[in-house]
Amino acid sequence: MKVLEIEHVTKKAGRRTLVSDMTFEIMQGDVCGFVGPNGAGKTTLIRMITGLVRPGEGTIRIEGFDVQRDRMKALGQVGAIVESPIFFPYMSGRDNLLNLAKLHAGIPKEKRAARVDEVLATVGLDGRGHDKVKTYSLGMKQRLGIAQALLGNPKLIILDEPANGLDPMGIRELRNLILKLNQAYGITFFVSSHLLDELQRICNRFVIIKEGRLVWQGTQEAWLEMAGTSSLEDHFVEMMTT
Amino acid sequence: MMALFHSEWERLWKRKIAWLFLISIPLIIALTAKYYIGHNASFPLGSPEHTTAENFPVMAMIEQLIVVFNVVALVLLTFSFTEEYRSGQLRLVMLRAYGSSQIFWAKWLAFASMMALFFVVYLVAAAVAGYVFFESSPQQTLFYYDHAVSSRYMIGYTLSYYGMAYASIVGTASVFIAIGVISRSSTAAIGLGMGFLLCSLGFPLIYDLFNRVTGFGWPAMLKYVSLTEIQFSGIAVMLSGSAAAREWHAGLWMVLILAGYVALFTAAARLIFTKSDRFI
Repeated sequence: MKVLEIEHVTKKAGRRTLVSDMTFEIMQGDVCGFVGPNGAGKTTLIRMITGLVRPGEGTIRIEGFDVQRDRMKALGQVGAIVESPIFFPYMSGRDNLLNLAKLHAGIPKEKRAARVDEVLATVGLDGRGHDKVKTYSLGMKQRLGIAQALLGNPKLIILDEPANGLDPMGIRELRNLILKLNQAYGITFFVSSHLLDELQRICNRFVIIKEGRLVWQGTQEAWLEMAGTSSLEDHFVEMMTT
Repeated sequence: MMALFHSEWERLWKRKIAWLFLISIPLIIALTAKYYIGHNASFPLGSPEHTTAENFPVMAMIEQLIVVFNVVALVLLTFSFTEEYRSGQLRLVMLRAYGSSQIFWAKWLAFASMMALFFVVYLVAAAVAGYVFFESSPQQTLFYYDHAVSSRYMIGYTLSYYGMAYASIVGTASVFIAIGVISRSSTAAIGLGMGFLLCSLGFPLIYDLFNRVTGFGWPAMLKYVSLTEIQFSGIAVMLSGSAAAREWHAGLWMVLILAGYVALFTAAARLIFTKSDRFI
């Protein structure tokens, strides 16, 4: 079943084309790596998927709902971290989540606190939930970011450069968390990152873009076969420089 | 929409300035009372500047409306609109299936509700402090009135005064919101907001000076295009119903000015806030 459908999506800013005629799909249960060099249009596309930016042309559907025409239903299926995980720093992690939980129609008032505690436990922050977010490390903020993305029981989680600034331990925790959520809850992930070795460990599919255009999409096996090497990073660099 | 309003209200309420202002209202009232106690030595009973238990709530509002309430409104709106947007915090809300127009109105409503709470608490605290710090008088003399009024009349006058003061804060808030959505940083929003207040305060002085120097004799009512001038003397003029005020339809004129500010600046702010692309 298709969770995310991108159909002929184009976005221009003035004369500059940020994303050009992009088309691909992500199926339920996929962990899809979204890769491309800096300025390739990854974050712009993620902003369009999450409704922050309107596509100039084309259609984006989540679980069959058009993000522009049926925003409530489409975005109700999505949890996301776009760029860095920014929170309301004057509130505790738990209060941040309680505040955001109010915005999910699917979480009844009497179940909000339980749901918040549940997602805090899922990301391993149950012991620090009452601390102010401004005291959190970057790794903890990333985990809290995933917790807020999990609040509404999403079918799809979009992570934009989630490993940015994380130390190796933090990256490992994040990786394990993504795999756990994918395997235990069947959540589909769309992960943008520069860390190809890391993506290689968790992704079964890849979408590669360059200068706003789709370069390649397919399974990890197909990419490895095409690359003829065990390192996707080497082949990616080759693709981007030729 | 109610859920969005609750979420906005909660975030606004968790700001230190919101609850600090609320708990400092008794202190502000006490300091204002102290000032008016000294003031009473120079103004005998029967002067509109003489403070009594009955008119203290109005006097206390006159004293603090322009500076304290406007500045609190400016800071709250800067946090709510500028800081949340520019820091990217608002992304957390925007990713959650609500349209930017709904977010805009929820923010507006949360602010308006919080200011209403401040006004109610301020009125209650001032009413109590009036009887604690000042002597009661059966007759009150009001600004721009040509006759004394009863204490009973004073209750209605006080409520009307607070209602108009609140409306004037909604007017200045609409300007602050417009400033907030175009400002690139909280510092810029606060600076521009303060600049607007200073220009508003300066305009009537310049207008009077200009009139005096040139001898053009332009009507005094034009001074009230300044929101702070409405707050400073306009509300009292409007409520007085004096012959002079009736002559130039002071009440209608000032209500139109306030409505004009609210309509123009709220529409502009909403237009900017709800533009389709949000690169935050």
